[in-house]
Amino acid sequence: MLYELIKKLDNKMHFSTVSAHCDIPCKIYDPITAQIATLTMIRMVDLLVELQNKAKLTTEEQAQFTRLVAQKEHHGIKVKEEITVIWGDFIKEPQLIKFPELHSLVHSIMLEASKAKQHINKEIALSLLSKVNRFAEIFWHCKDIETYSAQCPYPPEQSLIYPFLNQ
Amino acid sequence: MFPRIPQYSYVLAIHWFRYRKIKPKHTILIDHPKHGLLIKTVAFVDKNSLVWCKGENPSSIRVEELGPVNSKQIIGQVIKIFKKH
Repeated sequence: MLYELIKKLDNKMHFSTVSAHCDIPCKIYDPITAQIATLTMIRMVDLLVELQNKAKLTTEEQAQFTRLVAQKEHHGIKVKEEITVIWGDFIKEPQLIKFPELHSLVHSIMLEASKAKQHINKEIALSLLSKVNRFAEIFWHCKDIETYSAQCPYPPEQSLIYPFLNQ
Repeated sequence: MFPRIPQYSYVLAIHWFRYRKIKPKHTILIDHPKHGLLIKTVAFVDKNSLVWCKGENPSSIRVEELGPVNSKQIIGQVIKIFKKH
């Protein structure tokens, strides 16, 4: 009620506007960063499994193992960060009405990304990709942009949701 | 994750902050030469009385990118936030 009262005052007095959250705001949002970070996690799992299958690791391989784990961790955090920024900044009431699954989908991405960080498990990483792809699909539909699914032309050669931009 | 101050919020700021000491965690309005009118949280005040601010969100401009602001650039101190919901 107090908010509405201030809003009425604002309509008459035109209060100054300040940037609070995103600072600019730049309005540049694209789920592709989260999708590529998820692909990186899958790729890291593939490479880690290759090492896992060896009976003994050389010092070089041990160093490589550490680097792969570190990158998987790093990209897991990136997935979470990229998704939460779009969710917190771009997604608003109209999108939530159109796609009521958004809150639970984002929450499940957070959980699955944590799981993918905790384990060297391709199934979990693929499950994360499917959720992030669904988020990307919703994001583009919110902008009235059609999407299509295609296999990425590089390892780990998984299906990604891309926006169909030549409309 | 939602920002602490959601979009379309109103804030009540006081201009007489100069009589009060700006401290870390205070929310202030600043007129930044590059980024315009911003609302920021005070990270720390250095020995030259310059105020270093941080954003309201991890994706905000980092404290080192924003640089320090002096008292003339500080428009006011936020004392109340009115959120939309």
